[in-house]
Amino acid sequence: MSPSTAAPAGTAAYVEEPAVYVVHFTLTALQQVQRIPVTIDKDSEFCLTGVNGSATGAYTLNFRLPSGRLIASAQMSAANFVGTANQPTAIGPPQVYRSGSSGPELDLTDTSNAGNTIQLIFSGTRRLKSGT
Amino acid sequence: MLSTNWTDPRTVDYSDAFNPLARPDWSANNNPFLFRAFNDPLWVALRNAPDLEPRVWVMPAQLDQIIQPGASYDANIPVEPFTWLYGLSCSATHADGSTAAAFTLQITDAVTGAQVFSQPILSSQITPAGTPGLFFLQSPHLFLPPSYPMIRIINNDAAAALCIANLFCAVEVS
Repeated sequence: MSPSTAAPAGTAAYVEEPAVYVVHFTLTALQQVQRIPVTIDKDSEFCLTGVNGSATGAYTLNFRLPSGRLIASAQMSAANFVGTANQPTAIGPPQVYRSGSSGPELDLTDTSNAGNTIQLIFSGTRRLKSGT
Repeated sequence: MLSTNWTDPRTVDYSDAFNPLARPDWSANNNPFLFRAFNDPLWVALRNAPDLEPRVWVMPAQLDQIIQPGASYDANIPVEPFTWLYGLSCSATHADGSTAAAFTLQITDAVTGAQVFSQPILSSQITPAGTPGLFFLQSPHLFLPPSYPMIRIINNDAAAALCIANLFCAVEVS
């Protein structure tokens, strides 16, 4: 698939662009939060292909796929899952979140027993409908 | 070594998370091992197949993650039918979370008896300390129904350790 895909006559055409959804969250010691939305733009679908991030302490996470299922059977240690800026963890097969949806809703739990400032980055491609 | 042909980026599928052409760190020059792996026929099929969802199995369950020295943990993993195992990540720390530890890991196909590793592998070979990232199999392994993976973790350390292995899978959902 090329970034710009020609569509058959009478059907929608799509343009692909890089997309990065950034989530900032601060957890208090041992705090658990659920279903933090990562709202997807209304003008485009989002194809998630990678996750990376940073934090000031240890934490665990899980998030939802477009089907509503959680990706992991239990919360994963961030050290085991979250990649780095030059090597994001590949999420595959890629999942497409619908435009305007709440995206990969996050469950987070602090395990550092201290305040924890987290930045998570969901990277992938955005599919914009360019015509009909 | 920098002898591969230039690839027009307009021809690259960036929506394919495992496309080695889309990530410089997996290029033929920078990581020929992974570049060849992702061009394995089964990998190509997995990358392009519709109706697959990623799953991560976190083993052991949270209450069993602290394993005593020399003790083993065995479990049957209740995966869905038609699960493909394609990657792993591990972490091991002493129970207080302060220092690194290590365990050995083996995964066995319950029906065929096929083992992912010929001998149990050290967790530090899957995920070296301080280097987050996945250990990708050269070719994804399908657990054909009624099969499922069996996992064995042995804490080789002299102290109790928090041992975690994540199994990265893809599941056929239709």
